[in-house]
Amino acid sequence: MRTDAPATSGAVSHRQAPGAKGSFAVLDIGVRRQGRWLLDGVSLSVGAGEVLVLLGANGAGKSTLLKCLAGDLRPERGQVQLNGRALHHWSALEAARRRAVLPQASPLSFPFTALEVALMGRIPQGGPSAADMEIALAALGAAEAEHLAERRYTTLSGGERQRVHLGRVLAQLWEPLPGDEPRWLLLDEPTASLDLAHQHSVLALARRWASSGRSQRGLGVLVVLHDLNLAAQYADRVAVLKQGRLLEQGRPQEVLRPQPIFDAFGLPVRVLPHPELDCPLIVPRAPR
Amino acid sequence: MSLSPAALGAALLALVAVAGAEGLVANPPQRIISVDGALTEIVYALDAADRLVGVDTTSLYPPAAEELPKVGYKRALSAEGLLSLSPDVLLATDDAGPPEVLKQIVLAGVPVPMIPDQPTVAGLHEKIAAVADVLDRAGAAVELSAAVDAALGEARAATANASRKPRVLFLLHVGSGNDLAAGRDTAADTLIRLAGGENVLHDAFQSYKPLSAEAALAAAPEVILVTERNLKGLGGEDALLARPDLAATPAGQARRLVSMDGPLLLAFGPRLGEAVATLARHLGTIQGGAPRASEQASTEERRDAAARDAGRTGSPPANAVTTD
Amino acid sequence: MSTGAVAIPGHANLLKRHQLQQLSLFALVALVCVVALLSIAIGPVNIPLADVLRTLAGVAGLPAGEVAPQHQAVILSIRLPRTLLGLLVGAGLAVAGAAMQGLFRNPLADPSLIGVSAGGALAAVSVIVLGGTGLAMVTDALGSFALPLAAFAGGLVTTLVVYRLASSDGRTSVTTLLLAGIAINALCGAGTGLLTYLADDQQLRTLTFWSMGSLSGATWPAVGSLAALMTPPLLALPLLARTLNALLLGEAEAGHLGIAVQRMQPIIVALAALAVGAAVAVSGIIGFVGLVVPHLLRLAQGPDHRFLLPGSALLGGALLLLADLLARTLVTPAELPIGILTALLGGPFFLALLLRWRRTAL
Repeated sequence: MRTDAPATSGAVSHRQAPGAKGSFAVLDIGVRRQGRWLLDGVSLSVGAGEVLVLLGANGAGKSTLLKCLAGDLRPERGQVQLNGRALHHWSALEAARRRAVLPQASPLSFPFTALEVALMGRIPQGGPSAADMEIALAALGAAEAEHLAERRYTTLSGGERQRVHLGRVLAQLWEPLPGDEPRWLLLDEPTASLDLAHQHSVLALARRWASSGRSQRGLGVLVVLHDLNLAAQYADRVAVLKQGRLLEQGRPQEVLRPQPIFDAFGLPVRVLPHPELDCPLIVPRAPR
Repeated sequence: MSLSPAALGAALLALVAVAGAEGLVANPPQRIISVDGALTEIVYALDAADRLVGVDTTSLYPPAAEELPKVGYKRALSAEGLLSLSPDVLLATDDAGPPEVLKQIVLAGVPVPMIPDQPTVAGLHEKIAAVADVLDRAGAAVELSAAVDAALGEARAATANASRKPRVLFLLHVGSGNDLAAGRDTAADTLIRLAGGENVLHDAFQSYKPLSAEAALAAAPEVILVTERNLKGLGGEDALLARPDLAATPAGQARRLVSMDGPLLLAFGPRLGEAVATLARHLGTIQGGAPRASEQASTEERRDAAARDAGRTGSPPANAVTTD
Repeated sequence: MSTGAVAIPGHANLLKRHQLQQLSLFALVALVCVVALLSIAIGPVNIPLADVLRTLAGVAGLPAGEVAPQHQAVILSIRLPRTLLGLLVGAGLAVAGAAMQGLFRNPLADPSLIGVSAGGALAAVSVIVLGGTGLAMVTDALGSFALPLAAFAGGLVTTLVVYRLASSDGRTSVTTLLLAGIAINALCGAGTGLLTYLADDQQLRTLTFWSMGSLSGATWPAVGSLAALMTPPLLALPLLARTLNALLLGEAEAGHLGIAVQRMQPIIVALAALAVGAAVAVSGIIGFVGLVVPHLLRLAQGPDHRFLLPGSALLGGALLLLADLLARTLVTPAELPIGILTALLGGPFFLALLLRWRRTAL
């Protein structure tokens, strides 16, 4: 387990035993649907203090893997481990205090105010008290949605809704756990409905929460992304799935090379050094 | 919280009920509510209408009854609504309701003699006697029953000469879906028999049931019987006789449709003799009119013809009769 | 981490909203009291208010003056049970409606949508039609509980069947659930139709009365059995408010928030089915209450179930009493079917609010 706070660029090598106490991991899991393996023998681990970005083409198994970590799916084979204990051995409430999930989209269609939505993030902690109200407001602030607090959710744009839900999951993990037990944030394509500026601010937030460790406590982030350059810029590590198997994992500089990218996405790219940041820049090659 | 008023209420009501029952013995009731068309007619026929303070919505005859306060449909009565008329007695047949409401009326000290509602001549006499008993009009009841018997006897004598029994189908239109047809143990069934006809569905089922188009064809009625109000609801004579399920029946072919005043046809009250005579005239069982050629054919042959003609709508000259 | 620095003052009215909801609940309690008093004081039989108050004082054990026995009898045996029955039925229907709408994340969801009403109706019709024959021993033993229990069991069984059909992999799809509900509705409708055909004349009349909806069957035993059956849902559903709130986010999201979704959903369904079954059995089918009441409250105070559920119970009871007051006084000495009135009162009001809400809030 790491103890040093990483630099903001965050590119640290991070290999630890899968399933260790301070990690959120899947161990050789397999998920089968109608005779087809959606995930096959995947082992992957997120560590406290890191941002792990999950990449892959459509249908590669990213969402399925996220569902396994979220507890929506129980794999047929293998095990999901949360802080050193099988996920299904945690009660729903215990798991909810350790792990929050930002969905791609929510079916919410009732006119709650944004603040009320964020307050639902406090349900695992025992429900809305006055202190919870303050936390929810602060969480909305962190998600750059504080000005929406009084607006009805149903009147918000897609991007605004996404930020309100981000505020909700931040509120859920707002406080440290006793004994510095790590907490986990799972973000499923959090940038999908956001404008460019907000895409960066959301990932910067994830980075900050993981590395500066919001008050030095362990928190790990797993993000599903489609944008390779966002991944390159914000990930400590990236993992690439292809047809239900783990193709590559490692630091962005190691993984985001033309060959693995071509293997995973079938797209020829050039990889340049980023002109300003210490990370690769991926540019699709002109089709011939 | 709920127990004490319940107990108190029950005790009180028992007291009131005893008082009410004693009052009834002493003198005949002066304020009567009748919740059945036939019972209302009987009250009028027994010359006690001045004591009626309310009637239900099935009490349509005599016209004067319609002037009285209406307590609603006989099967959806309101306890407090009835009590607000301060009745001494509630005249009801055994199909009145809801039962809880009648229970509350009784508990409130108003006797509710439940009078059996049988669509038979004996049942009618029983009804007359029961009403007379409540009204203390035994003498008038004997006269009324005798008058009913006399009228029925007259009608029976007149229909005795009829060469044959016309096969009648009674249809009741109740909103959407198939029309209801009268089986046995119905007012229509008894009336048809008394008028010298034969209910085509007497053996098919009891009470009123929805009738499918093919069942109507198979029943092969020679006469269709409806109430006047229903005839309007069914779109009038031409529309009814043109319906595919009826057009191919002997009745449809011969355009033999009888429509009668609803209250007279269905009330089964003291005007039963009049109802029988009216229907008999329409059925031709009284005048003994010359039977048409086709009516001499056997039932089987007619059924075959009906089946062959199903779907075809060739209609012979109009022969339908209606009353006004 | 120090949350004291958060700019709460800028959102003072957010804090007020909670207080406003509490205030609304008190107002609704007051409304229920007023409407209940009206319901006891007004009726076709003209009773002076003084007699009404004296009788009620007597019930409460206070020194009461002389009251005409007939008046006392009307109040104690007709109006009081009817008022309590109306409150319970209205509260139960409204709370069940609110819970179902939360469970299915559809503000238009209704017990009738997923087969609770149809299943309850089929079971109740079975008791009415077959009660005299094969089931006689069972129904006699259950007494006045027979019909409500049957309606509850019918609603529950159909709901569970729909549920089973709609579940796969231990998860429930709302779309499949609603489609299965449609199929079950059709089946139960057919079953009810078949029994209606088998029914004799007398039973058919009971069915007709029952399908029109009325509180006129209000007797003390009916109130007692209804209260016994209605207590669990009326007490337990408001306690599940946070679960229902979380479910609005989606089933998976509720699970992520620590709600044992797969365990809580059947409990909510069962409680709602009990409320609907008990109400339907004692008063027939009274529509609109379960749909309109939660809607009105949501438009006024938002969709938070912690307010919505107790609010629905109160407003539902008040609304149904008001409708019943009109039903039994508008056409005295006769009575209107209350289902017609709830639709007449609820429909236009609901539409007007809906239009206003669309203009301002959207």
